[in-house]
Amino acid sequence: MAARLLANLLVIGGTVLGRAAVQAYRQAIVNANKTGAAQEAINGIRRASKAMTEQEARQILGISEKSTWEEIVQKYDTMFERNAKNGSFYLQSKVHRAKECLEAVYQKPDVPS
Amino acid sequence: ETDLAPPPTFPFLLSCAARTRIALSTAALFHSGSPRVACLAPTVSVSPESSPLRPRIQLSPVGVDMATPLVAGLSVAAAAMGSRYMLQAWQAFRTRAAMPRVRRFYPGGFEREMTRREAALILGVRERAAFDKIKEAHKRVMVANHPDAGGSHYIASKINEAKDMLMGKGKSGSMF
Repeated sequence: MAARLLANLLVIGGTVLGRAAVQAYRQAIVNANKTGAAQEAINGIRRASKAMTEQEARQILGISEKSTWEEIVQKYDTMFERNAKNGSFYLQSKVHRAKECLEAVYQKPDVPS
Repeated sequence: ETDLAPPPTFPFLLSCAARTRIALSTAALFHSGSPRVACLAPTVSVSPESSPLRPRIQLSPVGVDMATPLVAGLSVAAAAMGSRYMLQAWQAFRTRAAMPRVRRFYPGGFEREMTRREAALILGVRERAAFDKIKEAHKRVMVANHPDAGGSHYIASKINEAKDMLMGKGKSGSMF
């Protein structure tokens, strides 16, 4: 009699816990989608294989394909300093990464020569 | 001279010169009228050229001369070590301050589709900041990246998009 009662309690407890776990998991997924963490994680996986493109770097620094390296450096210094004072660190990071990307592009023609 | 007999502690002084010296010294001291000095007369007369006070007098100037240069030397050494430590600390501070800044930059470019978190990072505020703070941050960041003042149109559009997302406009329909 007591063993049967104990078994029933265990089964009911397990069922309740399982249901609660499932609901918590679903709620976590909803929160991730709402705050953008899930999307950011997906983009992170995609971006890990690919860095900033040259086109985006030129757009960030506001230069064209005909600009010289001196113009790029001057533009970078201006934007970097302005974002350091009044802008945000995130935009400052993007400006810095854009310069790194273009630096790699502009150094390629020098390697074979 | 016959009435002044030599003291028994000096039996070896039997020469006439020694007796004469002792007698003269004792007579002079007796004439001065100080019995204590008279008691010390034999010691003084035995070795008049070297008195016990001379070594002490000589040691004092030597000690005084030795102390000043030592203290000065220690002070100079301490100052030099302090300056060297301060210089090393300053160099370490500059070196340490530069490295984390380079390492901390966010990697890669912007997201393909802006998220609320990236919008908050762009404006430099929290995701659930008040509307007044969002507007203030948007104005400040836009002034820093305005296309007419050396900024770029691409970043300006990103800043505006970030503000719209945080204010609950644009693609995301929900307010929070």
